[in-house]
Amino acid sequence: MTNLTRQSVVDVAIGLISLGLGLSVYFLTFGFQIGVSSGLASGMDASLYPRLIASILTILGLVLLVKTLFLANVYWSGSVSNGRDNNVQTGTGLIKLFPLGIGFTIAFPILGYFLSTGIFVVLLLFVSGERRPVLIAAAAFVIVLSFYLLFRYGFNIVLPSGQIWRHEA
Amino acid sequence: MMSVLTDVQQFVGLTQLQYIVLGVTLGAIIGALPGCGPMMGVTLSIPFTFYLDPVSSLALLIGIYQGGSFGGAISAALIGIPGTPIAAATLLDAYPMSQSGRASEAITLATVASWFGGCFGGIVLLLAAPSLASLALNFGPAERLGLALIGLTAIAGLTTGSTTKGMMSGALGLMLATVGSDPFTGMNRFDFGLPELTGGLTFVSLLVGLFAISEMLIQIESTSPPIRITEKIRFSAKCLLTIFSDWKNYVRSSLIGVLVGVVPGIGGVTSAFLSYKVSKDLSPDKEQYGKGAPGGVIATEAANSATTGGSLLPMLSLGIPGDPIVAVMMGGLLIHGVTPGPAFMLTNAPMLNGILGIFLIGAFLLLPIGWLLLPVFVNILRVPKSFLTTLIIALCIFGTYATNRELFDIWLLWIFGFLGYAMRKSGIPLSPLVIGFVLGPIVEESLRRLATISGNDFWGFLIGRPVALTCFVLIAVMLLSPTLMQLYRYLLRLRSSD
Repeated sequence: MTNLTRQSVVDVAIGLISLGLGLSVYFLTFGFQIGVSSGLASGMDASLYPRLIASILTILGLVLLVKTLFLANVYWSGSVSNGRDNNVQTGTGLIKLFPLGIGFTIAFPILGYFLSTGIFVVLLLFVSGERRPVLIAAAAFVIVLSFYLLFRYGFNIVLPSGQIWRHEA
Repeated sequence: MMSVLTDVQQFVGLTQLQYIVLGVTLGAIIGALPGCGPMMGVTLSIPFTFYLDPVSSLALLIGIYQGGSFGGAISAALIGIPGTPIAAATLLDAYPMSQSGRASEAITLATVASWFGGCFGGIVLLLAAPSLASLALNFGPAERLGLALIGLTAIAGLTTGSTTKGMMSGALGLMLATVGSDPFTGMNRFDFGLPELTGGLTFVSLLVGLFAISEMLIQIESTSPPIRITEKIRFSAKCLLTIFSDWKNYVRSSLIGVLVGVVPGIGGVTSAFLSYKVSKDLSPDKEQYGKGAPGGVIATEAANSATTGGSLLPMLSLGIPGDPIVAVMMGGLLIHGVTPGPAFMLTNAPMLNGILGIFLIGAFLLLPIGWLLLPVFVNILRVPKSFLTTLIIALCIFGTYATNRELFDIWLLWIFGFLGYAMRKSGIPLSPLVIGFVLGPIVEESLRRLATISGNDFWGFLIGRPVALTCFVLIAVMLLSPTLMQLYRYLLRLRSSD
């Protein structure tokens, strides 16, 4: 076994995830066996195809693990970074955007389109690096209004008005 | 030819023309933005195509593909950052031209070359698609399975990085396509009791999350300085004359672009670098390449625009997307109930001709639209990144919501955004997953029909089908060759160290 580099650790994790996913799916497919020998499907039942893919995922996971752990001298699996930007702070995008996105998805039906989107856009502009309050307010106003007009009148989609306002009314 | 013109007249009205113009314009603008590109443009537009008829939606998507392939050259020339990976080769000469005060010439050359390459690709597509489709009319499930797996294997094997990871990504795409009810028995698979999953995973959530949200996460992480452009850009009419003075370069590069585009999994980046190399090798001014040679810009832009025509050929005639952007377009057509391929050609030949006409019109419009947009591009590149990021994320969310008007789709968007981000960070290509997801139902249906027809003699059945057998042999070669090459290099290394 060779010394693990950062790339190797990532590859081992990918191999293990693929292995775990493949095995989990493989066993899940045993629940799909009703419908065997029905009509056109007489050659393969509903579970066989996903089981085949699960087996491939499992084998590929094993191949990656073996390559990384035992054959690192023979194989090179490519770099993690695509090398397009040197000023990257890995993980900050997730930390900044995901709580906002999840918060918005929860708030959207409760607070309604205007309030939830307005707050979301202001916060999103802020985490994206914009610090000028007048520009943030103006951009949020333009985005919220233009999206409303586009979806409501362009595509005839009724956007949520908000459960709390409806309750009060 | 007359029938083609009649079909184009029947399917391409004023509405479709508007969508072609809109698509080329939007594509060029999105393509010019660093970190965006035709894939982002096509992805963001897919939700809106639900509200259009199939021909109009394809007009919009084809226009964005064509405009986006050209737009990348703008930022490559002006700021030295290719808006799209396919413009990386254009940067080699366009940026030095800009630095020496010839930005207008570089961008005009890129516009003219893209226009020429696009029209060339369109003409080849118009001539070749019906013939290829009629050849494929006798294909059964074995051939369809073989071709679908070839497309998937080529993408997984030829994308940057590890072949194993590419294959994993493709297998994951095939796996995600099985979520929902089984097409043969109607049994629910992997729905975990959620009624929203019985119809399968929403294509738009998967696509927008994987490509657009993950890209925006990465954009938020990068702290690039603001872009400053002071030069005024004008269309340089004398560059039009290079079509006559350097016609060999235009034709040769466009031909390389089309041929590379037809092969699944290779795409615009390879065609641009390949034609650049050929153009450099055959040029009397070799030493000028890399320092601002107009021939370099012509070669790369003509090739990558011609590739768009080539890559549409296998999708329209065989039903197999050879490129992730084309896979997304095929997904957009499938949503409308239109399945491209030989059967589509047989039953809907006039519509196919209409689509081919749209491609040619879009390619032709690239020159006037590019001409008119030149002054706009500079201003677009000045828009702060924070505004663009916010606008794109908002488009992703509401575009996804508009598809089914279900909050569940927005949750899926975040899940696939996280998956895409994790895959990018760990060096797993995204394209095989999308192609796997689009081809998944075709692969499953063909495999199960093949199992029914062949009974217990699968290999015996294949021997009687030479096209299918060739496909499977090619798949084996593509899968095994990287491993054998690595082993060969390792043995050579061992021998030299001894």
